[in-house]
Amino acid sequence: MAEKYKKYYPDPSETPPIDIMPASNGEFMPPDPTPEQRKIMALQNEKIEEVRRKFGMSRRQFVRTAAAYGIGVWAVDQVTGGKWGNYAFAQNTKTTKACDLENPGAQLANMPGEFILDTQGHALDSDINAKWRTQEPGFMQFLLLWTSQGMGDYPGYNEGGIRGTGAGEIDPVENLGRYHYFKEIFLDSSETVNLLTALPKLPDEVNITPMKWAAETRDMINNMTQSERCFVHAFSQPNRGFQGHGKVPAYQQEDFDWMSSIAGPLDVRGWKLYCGWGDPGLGAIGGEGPSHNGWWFDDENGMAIVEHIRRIHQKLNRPAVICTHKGLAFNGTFDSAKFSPRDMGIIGSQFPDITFFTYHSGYDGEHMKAYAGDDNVNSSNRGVDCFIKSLRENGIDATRFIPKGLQHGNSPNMFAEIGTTWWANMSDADRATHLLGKLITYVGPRRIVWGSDCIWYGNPQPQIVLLRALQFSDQAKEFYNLPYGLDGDRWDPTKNALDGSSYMAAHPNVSGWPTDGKAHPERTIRNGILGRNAAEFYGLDPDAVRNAMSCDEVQKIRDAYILNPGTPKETAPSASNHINGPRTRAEFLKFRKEENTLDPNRFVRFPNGR
Amino acid sequence: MKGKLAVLAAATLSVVAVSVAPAGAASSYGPGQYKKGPQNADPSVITAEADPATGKVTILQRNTRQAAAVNCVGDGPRATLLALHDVTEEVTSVTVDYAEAYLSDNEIIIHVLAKGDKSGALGARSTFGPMVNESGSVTLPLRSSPQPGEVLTVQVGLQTGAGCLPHPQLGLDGSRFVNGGQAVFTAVKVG
Repeated sequence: MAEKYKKYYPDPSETPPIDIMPASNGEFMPPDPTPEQRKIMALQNEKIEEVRRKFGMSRRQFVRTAAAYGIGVWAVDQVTGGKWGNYAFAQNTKTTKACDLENPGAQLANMPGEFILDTQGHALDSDINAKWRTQEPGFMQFLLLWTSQGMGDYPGYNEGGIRGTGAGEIDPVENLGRYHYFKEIFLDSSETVNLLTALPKLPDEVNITPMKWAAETRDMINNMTQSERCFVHAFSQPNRGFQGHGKVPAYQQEDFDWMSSIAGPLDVRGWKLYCGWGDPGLGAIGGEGPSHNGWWFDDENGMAIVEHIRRIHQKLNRPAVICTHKGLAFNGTFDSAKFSPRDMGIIGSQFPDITFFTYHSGYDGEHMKAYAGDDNVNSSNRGVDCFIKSLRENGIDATRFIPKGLQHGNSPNMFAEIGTTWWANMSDADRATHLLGKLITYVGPRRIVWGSDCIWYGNPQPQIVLLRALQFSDQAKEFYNLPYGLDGDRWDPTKNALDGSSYMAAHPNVSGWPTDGKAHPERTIRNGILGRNAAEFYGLDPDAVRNAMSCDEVQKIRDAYILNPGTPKETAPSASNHINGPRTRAEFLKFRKEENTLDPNRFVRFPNGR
Repeated sequence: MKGKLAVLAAATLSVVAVSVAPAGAASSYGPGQYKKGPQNADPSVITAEADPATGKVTILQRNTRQAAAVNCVGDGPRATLLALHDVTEEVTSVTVDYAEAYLSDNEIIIHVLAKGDKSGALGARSTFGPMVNESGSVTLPLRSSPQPGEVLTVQVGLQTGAGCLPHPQLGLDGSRFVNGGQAVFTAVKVG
């Protein structure tokens, strides 16, 4: 960078790409790092110094290489790999050495058979004149605090110079806008297709991701690429204008009409619902404020909106899919009780013609272990086990749908999405193994879909690299009846999809089984999770999309932008590599003091008094 | 007093119903015939109790668990009763009668689920608070009929999720400081 610009731009971070140290979003004091976290970072730092010298690179350059990712995976594995899982590299190797830099697990290019469809991509309308910014300013504060991408140093923070915030923008909201969405998702990660998801708030013009903006973003990306890299769904709610239980909310019909009006023209591929989105409008009547007037899928409002989505599907031929947040309580912001997944099994069994993507799989920060068992789980809580229990209570868990002659089944219409859930568990191989092991068992190897929740968390690549690397231990393979772990064929996980001998003859119980004697990496459970499961549902042909991509404009930009592609020195020189936000108590206090938010009155009230 | 009489009457009726049904094939079950079912409670739970003798179920929790930035971890209260039914003929639904129901909030629920020892889960239904001394019933249509010779277990009780204090800087009330409920399950009818 030219010397004269240095005072305007922050120096690129020297942080390793896989950074597992505590981070605060500014709302809370970051916890002290655990001994394991300290060990992981110490190991990484030691090895990074060793290898970058060998490569003759500066630390700042080296931490943007594939090799640095490889070292990060190795370090996590050295410390947390244990009884149930470990991090090595796919392709069925036992390699765990940091210096095995030939492995392809960290490169931006896709692995064999890999097609990454992220069903939970986020961005927002960052225009300074966006209605939500003027009419719902509380939302801005909320996002800046919560999202690691959005927050960070404020202008004038360091040495009196203008340094930009979060990802470097002077306007902090711009860190979460279209440009950074495009950069982080399509240039600095291996993602192929991204579902730009929606956030709550109606009427739509004050939504932070209004549909017109979302459609423009999608069209811009797809026009650039001349291939389908992005698609959208729309937020809706049945409870706007809540007037008390048992009464039809004041704006329900208006909002349903709006859904019907945009579904076709804006090519809406499903609906994003938040049961915990209470409504401030008339909600204070009777003491039921927004923290208490969310809705359940199995109450009158929930049934009404699912029925309406079914009507839209039937009349307008739109995908009959509901994506819904379950888990992650956001207590004090949402009606967190309604984020319990208790109702997923009930609604799923009552609407077999609708497909449900349960975002976060119900996860709410619990310590991830094996499923606790039906008698031990209260489905009204939040947690992955509660989601599983809800399916089991209603007879739509995968174990009820095991085809004859096979040992694994799939829920008929329920998908488990792992945005944030994977992010929060991937730093411990045992927890990561249990998460995926139980979802495979109870939801199904073809019913788990990838979500990164980025760009809220910045770049999704660390999440992708760790999923590529996760290996089940022998004990986990036996416990979950997955003899090849995530490399098992997702139609029959007892077969190894990476071994050609699995495909020498037709499978007696699986139609369309390959018989070419070759490995079929596109059939692995891992590649199903990363994108092929969702692609199958959304009717995308992964191989056709990949072919179209291979010469699309975005790929050209990325090819030009990456140095040394396909080698350990593969480098994305503009990768942000930065988790924004205070990392220690001292940094937190400094942040709050300098942001002038130690005064509690400074803190946010949510839109419309939320 | 009126509620208590209703409970007594219902209990009496259920005993009569049992007495006229063939042995092992009762179509209605009431207090005294229930077994204690699974329950949940973490240290923030004040009580999660189910009394098979009276059919009374009580849950109560203080929501003083501290929420993290986005999470609220805990094990909210659940207390349940079980009615076990030996299946001799087709069963298409289960109806649970309740009385004296006091549920402080919408998220305090009466939850009914049915499963066969061979058929597995046959469905679940909930009804929601708030309720103040209400009576009523929850009908659960079964996905399929359990087969003769199976034991049909009907689990009924109260449950809610773990509530937390809101994050102090967000300025909203979050979960209620204390919530819970109580109800008397007067009959479980299998038909």
